[in-house]
Amino acid sequence: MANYIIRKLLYSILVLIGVITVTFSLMYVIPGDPARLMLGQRADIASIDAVRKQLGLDDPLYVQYGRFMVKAVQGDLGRSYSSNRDVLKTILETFPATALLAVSALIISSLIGILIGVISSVKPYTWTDNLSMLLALFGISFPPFALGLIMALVFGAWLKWFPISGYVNNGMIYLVLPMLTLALRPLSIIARLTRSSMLDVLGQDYVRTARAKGVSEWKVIIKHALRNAMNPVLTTISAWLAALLGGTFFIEYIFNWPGIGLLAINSILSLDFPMIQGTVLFTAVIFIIVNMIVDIMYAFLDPKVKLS
Amino acid sequence: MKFKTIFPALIALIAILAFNAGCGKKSGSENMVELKGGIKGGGVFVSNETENIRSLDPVGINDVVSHHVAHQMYDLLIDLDTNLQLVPMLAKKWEISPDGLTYTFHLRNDVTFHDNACFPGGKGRKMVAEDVRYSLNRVLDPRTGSLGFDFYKNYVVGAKEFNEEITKATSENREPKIKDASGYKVIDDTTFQIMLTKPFAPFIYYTCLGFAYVIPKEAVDKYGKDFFQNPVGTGPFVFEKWTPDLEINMKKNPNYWDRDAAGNQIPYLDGVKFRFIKDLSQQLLEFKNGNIDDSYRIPNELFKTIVNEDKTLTPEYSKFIVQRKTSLSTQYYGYLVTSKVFEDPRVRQAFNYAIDREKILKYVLQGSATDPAIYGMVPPVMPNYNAKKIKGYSFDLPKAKELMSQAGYPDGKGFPVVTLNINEGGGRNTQIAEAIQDMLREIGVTVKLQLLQFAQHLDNIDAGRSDFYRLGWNADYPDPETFLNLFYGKNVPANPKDVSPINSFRYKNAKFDELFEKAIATTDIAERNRLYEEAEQIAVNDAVVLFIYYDEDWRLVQPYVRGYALDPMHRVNMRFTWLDK
Repeated sequence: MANYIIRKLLYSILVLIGVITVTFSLMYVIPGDPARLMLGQRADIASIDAVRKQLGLDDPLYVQYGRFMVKAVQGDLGRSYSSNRDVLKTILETFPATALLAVSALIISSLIGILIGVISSVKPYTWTDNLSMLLALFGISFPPFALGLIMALVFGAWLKWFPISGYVNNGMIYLVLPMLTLALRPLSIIARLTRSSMLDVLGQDYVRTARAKGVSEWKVIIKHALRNAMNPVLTTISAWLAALLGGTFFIEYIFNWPGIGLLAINSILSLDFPMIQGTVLFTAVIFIIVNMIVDIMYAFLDPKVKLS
Repeated sequence: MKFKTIFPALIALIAILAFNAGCGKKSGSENMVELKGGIKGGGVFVSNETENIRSLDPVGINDVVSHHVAHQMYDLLIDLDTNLQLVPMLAKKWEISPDGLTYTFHLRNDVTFHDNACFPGGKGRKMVAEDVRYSLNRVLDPRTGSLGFDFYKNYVVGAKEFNEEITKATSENREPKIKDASGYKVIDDTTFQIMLTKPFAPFIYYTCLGFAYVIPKEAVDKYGKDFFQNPVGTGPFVFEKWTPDLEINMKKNPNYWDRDAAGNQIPYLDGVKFRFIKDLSQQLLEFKNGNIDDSYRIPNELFKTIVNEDKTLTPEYSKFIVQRKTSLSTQYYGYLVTSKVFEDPRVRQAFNYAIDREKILKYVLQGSATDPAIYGMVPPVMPNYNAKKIKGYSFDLPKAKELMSQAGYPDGKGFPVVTLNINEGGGRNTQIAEAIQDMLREIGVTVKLQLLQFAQHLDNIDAGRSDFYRLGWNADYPDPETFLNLFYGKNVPANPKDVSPINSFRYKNAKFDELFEKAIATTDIAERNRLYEEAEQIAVNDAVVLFIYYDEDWRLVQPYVRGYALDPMHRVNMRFTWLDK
C-alpha cells in the first residue's frame, strides 16, 4: 500500500511540474505587454521599461522560470499585476466561494440524481422513467453557460424570484441560481448512472432471494440494491467534486460569483500573469489532490486496484 | 415517495426560497433623517463598476475605476467640479508664480485623517503640509511600485534625481543619498510649495490626479505592502471592507471637514458600496430590480428599448432619471503617417471627407452619441477652449474623390487594400468599422478588417505594425495638452524600429511642435488656448487621424437619487449625494 501511495505521489508531482511549465510558457506566447497595460496609453518608453524591470520581465526567460519555480514551491505565487494583491492569499480568500458553490451543487445533484435514478429503475420503461431520462438527457446536453443565462433571464429578470448577481453575504438566496445551474449536469449524469446501475443490481439473484424471503420492497431497494449499486455513482460524484472545485468559470462569471473561476477570467482579461498562473496552478493542485485521495480510497476499498 | 410528488415538492421549495428573495435586496427606506435645506441624510448608495479596481494606494491609481472608489476616501489639494473647473479642497487657495515655476498651496488647518489603528489610540490626527510632501514624494519613489512617476518626472525639481538614486541604491543594497525630491517644499504646517524645472501650465491639473491623494505616513508604515487594501485618507467616507470581484464597502466619516451651504455636515449618506458586476446588461438588470442606484452606460443592443428618438426614456424606463453628457473623449482611426499607404496627406484627407459621421451616429450608434468629430481631436466640451474654431472634416464625397485623384488614385485605382485593425469592444467597434468600410468603398478603397485582442492591438500600434487602427482617447485632465500631446513630434523615437506608444502615428511637424511647446509654457489661459488652437489646426489639416465622433456618456439613476451629477470626465463624487426616500 505504501508503495502505491508513493508512486501516486510521485506521479502527482510530475504532473504538477508539467502544469507549472505549460502555464509559464503559455504566458509568454500570449501577445501583449503587461507593463504597457498597467501604465496606460500615455506612458513613455522609459516608464514602460522601468515597470518591466520592476516586475522582472526584462530577465531572460529561464531566469524568470527558475524564479517562478522556486517561489511556487515556497508557496509564494507573487503579487497580482493588476491589483497588487498577494496571489495565493487572494486565491485562498476566493476559494471558499467556489467550494460553497461546488459542494452545495454536488449535494443537491447527488440527492436528487440518486432519487430520480432509483425511481426510474424501480419502474423502468414507464412514462415516469421515460420522462425523467429525457430530462436527464437534456441536462447532459445543454451547455451550462446557456442554461445560466436562461435561468438568470427567467428567474432573475422576468419572475424576479432570485437575485442574479452577488454572494451569500447578502443572503443565502444568492446561492440558488448558480447552484441549480451548476447542479443540472452532474444531477442528470448521476440520475442516469444510478438508474442503469440499479437495473443491473435489481436483476441479481440475491435481490430475488431477498424478495422471496418476504423482505419489504422498500428495504430491498434501499438496503440490498442501492447499497450495491452505489460504487460507480460514488466514483462519478468524486470526479465531479474535483472538476467543480477547480472553478466553474462561466457560471461564476454569469452570476458574478466571487470564486476562483471569476478571478481567473478577470485575470485573463487584464493580462495579469501571476494571477493567471496562480489560479491554474491552484486548480491543478486541487484536481491532483482530490484525484489522489479518490485513488487511494479505491485502493483501500478494492485490492484489485493496487495490483493494476 | 411517488415521482409525481417530487416535482411539486421541488417547486414548492423554490417558491419558498423565492418568497424570501427580498432579503438580499436593498430595503425600500432606510433610516433617513431630515437635514437643513430639505435634504435627507442617511442610507447607503450602491454603485457598480464594470471593471475591477487596480489599487487603493494613490501611487497605483491610474485607472478610472480605482479613481471612482478612491475619490470617496481621499482628498486632493485641488478638485474639479462638475464643469471641470478647479475648486479648493485640502488647499483653500493657491498661487502660481509669474514665471510659472513655483506653485504655492495654502492648506486648511481643520482636516483630520480617518480614525484608524495606525494612529496612537486609533484616533486620526491632523493633516499637515508634511503629509502632502510625503504623499507626493511616494509617487516618485520606485520602491512603492508607483505608476505615476511618468507624469511628474520631467517637471518637478529633483524628481528624476531622487528616482534614479533610489533605483541605484536599491540595486546596490545601500542607503539612498537623496531622501526626497527637492522640488517639494514644506514652508510651514499649512503652506506647501512645488517647484518646477520648466514652466508647464497643465501641471496644476497634476494635483487633481489620483496619484496626488494625501495619505498619512503612519498607515503606510503599519500596513506596508498591503496599504493598498487598508486605505486611510481624509475623505468623506472611511474604508470598511474590500471583497475582490464582489464589492467595496465604506461608511461615513463623521469628522469630515466640509459643510454644505446650509451648514449640514458632509457627507449626507451613511455609506457607499461599490459592486463589481462586469456585464453591462446584468448591471442594467440589477439596476431595474432596484439593487443598485446607478447604471453607467447603456448597452448598445438595448439602447432603442430604453431611449426614445427624442432622448427621453421609453415607458418601461420612464420612472428612472437619465443623465447624458458629451465626454472629454474622442474616437478615431489612427494612420501610421510614415507608412507607404498613408504618407500622402491627401489620402488621409480623402478618407476623412469620405466618412458620413452623421449616418454612423444615427444608424450604427442609434443616437447613443450625437457629436460627430467634425472639428479636431479636442472635444468641444473642453472647458475654456474653443474647439469649434478648428476647421475639421465633414462628409464631402466629390472632394474625397478629387483628393484621391490628386494623390494618383483616380476612383481608387492602384490604391492597395488597407487593413483596418480594431479591438474587441462589445460589437460597437466592429459595426462602426463595417460602416466605414462601406463608405470608403465609395472612393474605390477596399478595407480589410482585422479584429484583435486589446493588448495585442496596442502592441502592434506601438511597434508601428498597424498602418490603420482604431483607438479612443480619454482626457486625463481638462487641458487640451492631454489630446495634443499625441501629435507632439518629440514623442516619436529617432529609430523607426523603436516603439512609439504616445505619438503612435509617428507624426512630426516642426511648426506644430513649436506652437505646442509655447502653449504648454504659457500660464495665461487665453493665450495658451490660442496657441493650442493654432497647433491643433495644423495637425487637423495634416489629417493625422480619421476623426469619427466625440463620445457621449449615459447614466441611469434611481428616481430618489439627488446631488449626483455626471461630468464630462465621468469623475464620481458622492460628497453631496443624498437619497430622497
